[in-house]
Amino acid sequence: MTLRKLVTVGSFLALSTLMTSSVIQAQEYPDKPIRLVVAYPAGGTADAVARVLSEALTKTTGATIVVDNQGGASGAIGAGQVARAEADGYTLLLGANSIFSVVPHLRELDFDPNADLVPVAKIADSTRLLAVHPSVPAQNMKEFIAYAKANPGMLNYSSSGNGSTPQILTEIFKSAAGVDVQHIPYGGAGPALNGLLSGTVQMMIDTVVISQAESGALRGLAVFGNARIPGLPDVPTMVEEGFTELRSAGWTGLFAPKDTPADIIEMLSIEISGLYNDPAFIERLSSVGVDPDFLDPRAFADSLAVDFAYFGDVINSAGIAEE
Amino acid sequence: MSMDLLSNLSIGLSAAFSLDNLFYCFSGVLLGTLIGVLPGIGTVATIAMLLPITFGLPPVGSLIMLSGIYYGAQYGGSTTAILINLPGESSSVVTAVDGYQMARNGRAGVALATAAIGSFFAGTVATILLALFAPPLAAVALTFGPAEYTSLMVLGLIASIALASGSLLKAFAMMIIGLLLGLGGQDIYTGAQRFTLGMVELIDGFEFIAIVMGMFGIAEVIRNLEDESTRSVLSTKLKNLFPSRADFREMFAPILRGTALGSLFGILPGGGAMLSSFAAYALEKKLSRHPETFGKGALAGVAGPESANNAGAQTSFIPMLTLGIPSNPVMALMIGALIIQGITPGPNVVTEQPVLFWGLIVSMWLGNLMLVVLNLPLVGIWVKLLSVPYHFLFPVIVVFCSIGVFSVNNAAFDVILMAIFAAIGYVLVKLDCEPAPLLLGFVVGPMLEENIRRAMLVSRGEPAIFIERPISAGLLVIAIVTIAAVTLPAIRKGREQAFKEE
Amino acid sequence: MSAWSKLQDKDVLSGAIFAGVGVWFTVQSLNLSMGSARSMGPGYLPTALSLLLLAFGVAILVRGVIRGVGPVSKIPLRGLVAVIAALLIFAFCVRGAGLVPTVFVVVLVTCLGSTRAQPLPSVLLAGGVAIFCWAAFIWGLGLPLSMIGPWLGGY
Repeated sequence: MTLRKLVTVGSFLALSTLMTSSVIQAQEYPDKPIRLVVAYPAGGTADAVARVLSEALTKTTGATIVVDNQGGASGAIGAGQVARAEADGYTLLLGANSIFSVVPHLRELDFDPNADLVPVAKIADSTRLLAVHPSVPAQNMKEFIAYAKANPGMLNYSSSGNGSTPQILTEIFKSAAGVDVQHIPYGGAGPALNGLLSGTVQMMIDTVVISQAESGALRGLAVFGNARIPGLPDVPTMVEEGFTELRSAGWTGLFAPKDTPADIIEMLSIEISGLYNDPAFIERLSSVGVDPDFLDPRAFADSLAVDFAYFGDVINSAGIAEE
Repeated sequence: MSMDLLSNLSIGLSAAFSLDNLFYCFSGVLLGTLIGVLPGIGTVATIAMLLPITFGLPPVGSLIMLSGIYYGAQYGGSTTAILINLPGESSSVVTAVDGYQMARNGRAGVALATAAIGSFFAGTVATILLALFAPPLAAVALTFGPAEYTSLMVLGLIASIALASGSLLKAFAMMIIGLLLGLGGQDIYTGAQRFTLGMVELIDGFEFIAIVMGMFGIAEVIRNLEDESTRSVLSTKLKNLFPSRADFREMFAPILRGTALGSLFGILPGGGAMLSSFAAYALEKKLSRHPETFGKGALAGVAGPESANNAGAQTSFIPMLTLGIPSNPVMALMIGALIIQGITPGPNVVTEQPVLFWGLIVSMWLGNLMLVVLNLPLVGIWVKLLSVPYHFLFPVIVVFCSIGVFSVNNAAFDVILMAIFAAIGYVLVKLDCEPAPLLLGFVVGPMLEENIRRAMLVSRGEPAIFIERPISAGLLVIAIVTIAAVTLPAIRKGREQAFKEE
Repeated sequence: MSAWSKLQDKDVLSGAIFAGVGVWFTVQSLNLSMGSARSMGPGYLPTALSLLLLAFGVAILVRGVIRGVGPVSKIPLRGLVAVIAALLIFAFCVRGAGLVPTVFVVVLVTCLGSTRAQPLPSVLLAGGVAIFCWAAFIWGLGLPLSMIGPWLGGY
């Protein structure tokens, strides 16, 4: 069920409360609610980022922004909807690397994410953690690899979906470490986390496991990213563990349908870059487990191309194909 | 434990019982009720619409207002289900079955009051459960893996057969059609398109609201137009507005059982609360001394499911707050609201944010209280609506349904879909096929498939997983017993009939 | 019982409808990849369910032929046609003509389905509902719909 519903009542009634904190801009765009499609279900990292971003933008622009979760098929469902939407600036996409950098290498889509959607702003990098269920006896990476090798084909891992970035990273890890772990896809990171917490699967790589590992409900073994996580100072990075090809962090960014007027994209990009001067915004983004990192449309497009090529290489060299 | 509970509740009470918060709660319930009674605009839509109002409020105040809106909208949906057979969401589909029949028998007021009282009682009990057992209950929810979910869905589907008062074979067939329709749209595992006929409008699947409005609301309008002299809602004299002493005796046990069922199902992340109202209906019908009155206006058929639904709505906060996992779209929106307030739901929210956690729990109870305070006086006004001559009422129903369905996705296509399902629903009713099992199948279909596929992957293709895991096996046994219980009498009856004919 | 009255039996008709729907879903499902029991494809369960539906349809049909439950009652077309037409008018006109004129026409067409509706009260009702819808849905709730659409000059 979609949540994109008669939301203007919100803008109408919210004006009074918002007036105190914002200046309503006297320009034509946006003059109706903006639908921000999140290509992943509620409860995941992209969803959290979208909510922080939409709230901040609502305050600075006065626009009503409705977050609409359209999860499934590793972002293909939500991204496809935005690619097909009217390019008027009123439908935007909060996307992450899976649909742009990974899925196109794995299967044919009925749209081309890298051509039918244009970047507006990169919002954040996301660090990922490889975490295991407490029932797994391994205390560190070496023990885990030994344990997995001793139990070939017995362990499961969950991911936010077929062709999701965490799945691909896990497959690269499996081929590098020489272990056999069965993939169990879920319809998003939230449900996949539930699968790990309930012990249905033994291992998962994602951002959402970080807070669970910090609280002790799960055991973190290695970090995917450039540095250790402040809350888990004893957990080494993948690179430290010797998996140099697993340096990649994930990212989330804002996109628009390809023919969206350049001045709207420009305006959004400037508004968003302004948010990064606000310590409260940075703190909120950090609190949902991501590292705030803004790029303007041009720089973001360059980094997208690099990311696309990187995943193309690792997917080919690890021989990963979709199940 | 009890000392803890008291100190925790007092934190919550002092947070919730400020004048400001009482005002937020009341205005939330009022707005929710007013918007919830517009057909087609359900709980999710109402919260999505009103979410921005709460941005400017302090965290506790905004959550209190949201829970008020939630309960108000949910009750508003039940109101239209009872008055004009228009359930606003899946859980009030059950309420519509007997609630609307009560309205036709001139007992609309009693049905509405029963729904409000049952909801309030269930909400109160579930709040206490939540305060006492939130963390251990969350642990129970975690014992549910894909096999358990699959068995639970199967049990829910079997229970939905009890919704049918006619032929069981037809109810099964309707349920399967519902399952198949529910699988329409893109497959979440592979993105493959199913049953979309190549239409872009169907890639997201068939719109639930369009199907419900068509098969229930509009099909009922067409049926009433068949013979306007027998339309009973206006022709029957209104009997008592409020439940009599005998009514209270009759609703007491169903409310208790519904509350228990709902509280239990609600803690399961992923749609448990919705199944609970179907399960409560099946249970009441099974336990009733007059099962033949079900589907014809049985009070227990309103009291049980409404209580279950509200208790489930309450306890579904447990997985949301402790695991950060939303159990339904409303909870997903609530998580959004929490994040906007700078609070990330998760295992630490109880200890790190005690004021918020306990304030929210108390405010949910407050929301239930406001609901009763606001809605019992409104019952009289709603019932008066029914005395409007039908030929003035039904064009308004048709227009409101159209606008409601259109507004879900701003899609004219959904209105066409509603027209198609209205015609289908009408023909099926003429053939004695009841729509309720189809709707449950529609809602359960995607979840059932997802979990079967996952369970088979986990078991490496071994179907024994469903009977090797004890909870799953237990649920399946209950399902089989239920099947036997509903089919054996029918088969016997069928045989008797066959012998009689010979 | 004659063959013709058999055909009008509620079980025979509904069984035939279910079986037909089952066949349609089966054909649709067969285009999808089946996968295996371990790793089910998007077509696995739909195929199984469609065949089950077909079986139920045939069972109901056979039961109807052996032991009918009685013919379907008359379907008066007036209400059905008026209501469905009204919905379709709404779907096709609401964007172009705008909410107020569309609602006005939809109410009038719906009223044609009733034998009791009189012309003058119906027109008054249509006007009242149109104004109410404008006030509640456009002014109050701010639905993204125009009051009078581009076909009629727009407002």
